[in-house]
Amino acid sequence: MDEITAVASLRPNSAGPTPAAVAAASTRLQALTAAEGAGRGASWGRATLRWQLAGAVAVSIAVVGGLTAAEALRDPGRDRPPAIQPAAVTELLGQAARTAAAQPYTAPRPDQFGFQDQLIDERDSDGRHREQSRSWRSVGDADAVPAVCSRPVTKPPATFDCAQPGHSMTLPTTTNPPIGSYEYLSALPRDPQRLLDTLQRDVAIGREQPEPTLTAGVIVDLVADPLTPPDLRAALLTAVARIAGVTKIDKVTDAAGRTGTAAAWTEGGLRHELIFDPGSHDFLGYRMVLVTPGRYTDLAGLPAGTVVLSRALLDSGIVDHARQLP
Amino acid sequence: MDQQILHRSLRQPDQFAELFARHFADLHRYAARRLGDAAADDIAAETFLAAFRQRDRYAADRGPVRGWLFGIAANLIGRHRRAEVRALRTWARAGTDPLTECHSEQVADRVSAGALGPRLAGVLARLSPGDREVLLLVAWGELSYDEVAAALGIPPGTVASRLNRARRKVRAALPAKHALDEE
Repeated sequence: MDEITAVASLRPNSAGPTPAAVAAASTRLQALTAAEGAGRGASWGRATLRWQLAGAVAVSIAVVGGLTAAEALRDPGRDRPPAIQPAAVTELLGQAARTAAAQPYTAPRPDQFGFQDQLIDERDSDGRHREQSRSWRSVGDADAVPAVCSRPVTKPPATFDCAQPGHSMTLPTTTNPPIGSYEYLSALPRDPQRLLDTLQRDVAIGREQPEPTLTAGVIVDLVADPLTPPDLRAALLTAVARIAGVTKIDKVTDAAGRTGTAAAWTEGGLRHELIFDPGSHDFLGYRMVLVTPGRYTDLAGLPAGTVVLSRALLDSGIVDHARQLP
Repeated sequence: MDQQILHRSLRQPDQFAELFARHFADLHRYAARRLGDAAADDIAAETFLAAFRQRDRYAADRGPVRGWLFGIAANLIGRHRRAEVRALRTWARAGTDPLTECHSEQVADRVSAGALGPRLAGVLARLSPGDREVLLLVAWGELSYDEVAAALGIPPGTVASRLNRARRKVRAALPAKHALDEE
């Protein structure tokens, strides 16, 4: 036996892809080839939004069943483009940055975990998906899969399921260290413009064309991330004020029903809204509102003004063990 | 054959499905061997999406299409490099492959020596990324030198030198009682 044979024998050959995996991959490829064949433009613009968003986040957006037949997420008041208020939004983000920077902070140990508790409310062509998701992400192990416990939003409340934490959509990371890891966060520049440039560069790695929704997704994830140091969170919020077209919107309701003030900008046919408590300026959550219908296959049929994703940050912190609450 | 299909797909995008049919399973098996079935689902699918998008940039003189496809997959797999190396080290220490939950005794059935599996896993973990990629494309992907060269964008001579280096390290790391038969 030679060395090649020995290495070849080391790990058994896979039985091959399951029919479901082949079908899923084939469907995605067909959508792409059909889009080009139909002459829908060189931008491959009808890729699914869900898949694009998936690459942005270190902690995946989870989707589970148990839907509730509830009111539509459509927000009639959001159809009009918001008025441009650059001074107002700069002030809002400045206050939010100062609030973030003033938070007490102790650098986490490598053996600790960043904890997040959030409500996620999504809507696409297939319907509405609502869940509460709790996740624990290792500080020191950037490649470890986060522990996630989730439950559908139902009445009466369901129990958390930690064994089947939903439908993970995390793609292979595009940076080393991975985007969102504590090591990555620690190395990010604190200068707002350099920070913005770095994030835009990193989310474009490995992609044919820049995808603006990814940058928005990363910014939101990092702002909400319990591992993000206060100075970085403040820099992120200051950087948002430099995004072209950012504006302030009053009375925006997050997934938990809390009303706040948002900094919003439109990219990729979607309006991204970072929501803050109007009094304390703490970060409450995030919404993504459809502005240009027909751009994404998984949002087909939804009208402009539909809130396609809403996340409310309920709690976050650093804990010593996975599945431990602060 | 593959190059003709690729060329036709420039004007008839749906022709690309033929390349998918010819190579998806092989790519998936290779990715699964490197990172497990779950990751392979994503990597194999993403490979073909990326290949379709980049197909106008493929040039026949860069080698076989199959190698080009494996190269795209190798780039995607490379993003998991740290996790992969960690798994190999775990295997070397614990005697159990965390990817397959396969104990060393079972490995021994395949590679002919009791502790050979963990030892080889340790060697793979210590190889340079470039040498490991070449070795695994040959041993697990069953690619030819030309295909490996196309996959990694390196001259075939470099493939040979990297492979020889990797083979020496595999051999040197094994104790005498596990010495492999000479070719």
